[in-house]
Amino acid sequence: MPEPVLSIRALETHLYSREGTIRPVNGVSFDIQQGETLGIVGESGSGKTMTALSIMGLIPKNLGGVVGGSVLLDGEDLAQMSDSEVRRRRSTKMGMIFQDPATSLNPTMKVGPQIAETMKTHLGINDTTARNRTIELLDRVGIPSPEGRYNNYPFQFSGGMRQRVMIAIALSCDPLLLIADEPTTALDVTIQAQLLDFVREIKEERGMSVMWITHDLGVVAELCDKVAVMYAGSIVEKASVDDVFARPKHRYTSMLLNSMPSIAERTAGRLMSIKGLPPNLANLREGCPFAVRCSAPVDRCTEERPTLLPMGTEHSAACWNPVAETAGNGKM
Amino acid sequence: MAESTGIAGLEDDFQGGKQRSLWVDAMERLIRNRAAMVGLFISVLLVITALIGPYIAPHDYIKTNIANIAATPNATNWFGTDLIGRDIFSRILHSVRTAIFVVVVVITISTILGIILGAAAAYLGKWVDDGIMRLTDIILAFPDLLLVAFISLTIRQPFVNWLGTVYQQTQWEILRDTLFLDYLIVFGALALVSWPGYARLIRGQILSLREQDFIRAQVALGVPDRTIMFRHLVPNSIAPVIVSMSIGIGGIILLESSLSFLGFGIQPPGASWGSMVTENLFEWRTHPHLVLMPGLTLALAVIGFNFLGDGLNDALNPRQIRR
Amino acid sequence: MFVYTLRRLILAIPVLFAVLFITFTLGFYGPGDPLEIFYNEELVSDPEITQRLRELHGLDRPFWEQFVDYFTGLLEGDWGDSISSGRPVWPSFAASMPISAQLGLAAAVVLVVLGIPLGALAAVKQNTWVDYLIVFVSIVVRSVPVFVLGPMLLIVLVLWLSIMNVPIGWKGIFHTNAILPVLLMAAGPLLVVVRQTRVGVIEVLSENYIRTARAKGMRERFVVWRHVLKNALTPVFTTMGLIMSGLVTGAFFVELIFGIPGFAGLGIEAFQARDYPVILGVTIIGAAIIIISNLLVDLGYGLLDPRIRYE
Ligand SMILES: Nc1ncnc2c1ncn2[C@@H]1O[C@H](COP(=O)(O)OP(=O)(O)O)[C@@H](O)[C@H]1O
Ligand SMILES: [Mg+2]
Repeated sequence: MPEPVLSIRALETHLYSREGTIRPVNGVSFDIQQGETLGIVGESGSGKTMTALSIMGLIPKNLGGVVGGSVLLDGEDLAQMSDSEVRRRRSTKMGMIFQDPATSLNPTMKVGPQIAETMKTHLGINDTTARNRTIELLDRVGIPSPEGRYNNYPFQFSGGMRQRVMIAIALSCDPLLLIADEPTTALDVTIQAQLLDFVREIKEERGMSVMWITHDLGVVAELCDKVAVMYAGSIVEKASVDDVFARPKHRYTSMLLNSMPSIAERTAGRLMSIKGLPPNLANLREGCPFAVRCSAPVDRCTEERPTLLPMGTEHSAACWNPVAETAGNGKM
Repeated sequence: MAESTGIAGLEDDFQGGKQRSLWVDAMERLIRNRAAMVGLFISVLLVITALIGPYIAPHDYIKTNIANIAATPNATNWFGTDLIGRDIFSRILHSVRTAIFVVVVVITISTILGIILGAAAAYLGKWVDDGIMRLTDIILAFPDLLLVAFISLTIRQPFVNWLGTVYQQTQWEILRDTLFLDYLIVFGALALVSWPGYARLIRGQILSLREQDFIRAQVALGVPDRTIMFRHLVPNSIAPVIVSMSIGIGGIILLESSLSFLGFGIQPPGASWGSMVTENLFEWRTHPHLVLMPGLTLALAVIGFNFLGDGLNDALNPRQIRR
Repeated sequence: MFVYTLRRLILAIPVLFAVLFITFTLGFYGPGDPLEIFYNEELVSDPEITQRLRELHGLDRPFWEQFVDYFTGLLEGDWGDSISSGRPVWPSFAASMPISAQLGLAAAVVLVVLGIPLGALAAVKQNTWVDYLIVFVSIVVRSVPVFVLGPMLLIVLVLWLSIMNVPIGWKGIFHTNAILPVLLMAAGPLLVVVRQTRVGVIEVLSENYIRTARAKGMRERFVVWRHVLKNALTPVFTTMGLIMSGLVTGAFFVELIFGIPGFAGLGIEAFQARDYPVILGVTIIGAAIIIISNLLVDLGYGLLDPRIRYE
């Protein structure tokens, strides 16, 4: 198998708060191959955003930072690099788009220059070239009359358009990896579908790898090749999309699947909800963090924390009592 | 599937378990703030001095002594004496009382005025709101010191005349006490320029709180207005008011002493830091201690209150409010 | 933008008028009779002379007539006559205002050059000793009134350290004598500028678009200059009225302490002499300065925030 574009090992991030150290990323490992899309799912608060920010090196210094593990991007370990070395790899090797398009663009700066300045910083091109390329990009991401839009302010764009501008920024320096943190959550369903189509198209076109964070399993089914399920700062199940939907091993994953709203409910904008609350990341107990909410805990669950165990080809789950396969789905 | 089997001892992992109250939180933040603690110490010391100062003063604060003028600090006159031989330390103790008295009264009056007018503006809306807000615009348009000086300059005489007539009818001795009169005029003028800030704050608070979901939900549920007002709006507006009051204290002390400095405040022989500095301002070359002693005490007092106010601000508004 | 400007302008006029009216009323119903203060008692006790003097100063007419008179006078640039000197007020205003304006402008420059970078630095270094020190010093400086800080500085610099002569009098804004007055004028409002800049920068630093700017790989310095500052200066801007008020107040003390023949000093003399026409003029102009700067703030919003401009 070729070198993965992104390879994370035992990533560990701490945030410092008055209640103590929070561990939103607690030994996370995964790979993303070239052209592959990995979906990261989990309830809110499970550490998805923190994982993405840790990769980007964007955890605010006054909050905390990455304390362990490695982040190999294109063969280089970002965790060992100085701030400015990481900075130079943003946009050029990895781009990121965020959840809230309404607040992710500078409200007092024209949209065009916000894209152009990225290219000027990294590609060393002059103003005219940057401007022309920006207009091309705006056109490519589907903004009508891009020349005129260049000089508009973010408030003159709709939510979906702003997210397209964000994508234009992220793609401006042709990165190997696009990290998308719930970019469609704030959009309504039709706009969301359009945006997903567009991302799939551009991903194929450029052969780009994508890390797509979402709490919507429907989106995962549509867009992703592989899935990592996060719970309390750790990955509890990793598999191909087909395996996750057909043969979930971790009971948290099956809970997520069971709580998936029907198409009708999704169009009504309902979010999934499941019973119980995620644990306090400031003081995790021994044992499995999911044990309290689990439908079938065994004694070992409170004593020892499960690690990711292989459950099939390219399929692993961190569970002492995984879901047994039902008759229709293959072997016992 | 079966319900959660509730494995013993794991329940308190839940996040909702220990919701700490805002006030306990704020208190903790305040106590950890060293500057605020120093401020609190100075403020408490000042309040105690205001209460007992005149009784522990080593000398009479009005008694002049021509034989002992402009003495530098020494064993009998700890802070020295002024140009007519009065003991500076005793005068400073008395001016603490003046300052604290002014602060307490002015803050109380202007906060109450501000709360009533601000709430009225927010609640009644329409022309009441317009009227009150234009009034605050107008008052805030004046440089505050100028307005205060102007008011105390113009109302003094009519006020004295009026109190004279009241005295003739009631024979209340206090009405002839000029010091009492000074206080009333200073209180009035200071309160008049201070209330608009509070009124705007309260109005803004109520208006923005009313837009919040939890209040809207209550309104939708048919909870009576008065319950919403006292159960939610008032408690939620208290923190910013406390902050703004504590930040305002330093300002009022400064304004009062500036007023005295310009000669419109508490008149001699009453003691006020501002007038003590003024009386001796042009002596700074020959007798620096005459300016330094009251000046430094005044500075220390304002610094104390400002540190406390700043600390309260940090403690109660982690996200900061703008004045 | 034009409509917006016009609307702001129209809103400011009634406030200015109200200020004028209140000031005039306060003066009119003030301490009885200005004549009593300026002419000696025997003269005034003679009813005939009093009457003549009243007519001379126009003090015998009803309130409204006098107000309209004063107002139309103002519109024609006539600020009345000083009671103590008997001469028109305006020329002395015209002579002293440039001095105060220079002082105020220099102090404003100090505020911007010192206050904004300090506030931004404190914000970027939030909760470190740099932050604490900057906030601490600005609180201390704000807490000491100018009339205490001034003499104290003089005592230290002139008496104890002997590094300067007594900087009394006005020799132009570029003379070394002006250094201390300008710094003292800036001392009061400095805290407001530092604190508001700090709050603004802290708030903006946690905005999503700053995270975007960093995610783009912009240099940190570039992020602060290009993305943070412009958005962070709005709260500083909102307190412009407060800052101007502080500068005006500072001018009073500074001009008095340093014997500078400025506009504010003129006001103080007038207050001490109960010279109403001058007090009226000084108060009105002082308020006008604040109203105009608030107006400029409103217009500045339009420049800072495109949403308002396009309204
Ligand atoms: N600004 C913050 N300060 C302190 N803790 C935070 C902050 N943001 C997130 N966290 C902690 O990190 C955990 C993971 O957050 P996040 O990565 O945003 O979750 P997700 O993106 O999966 O919804 C949260 O449960 C919370 O405890
Ligand atoms: Mg998130």
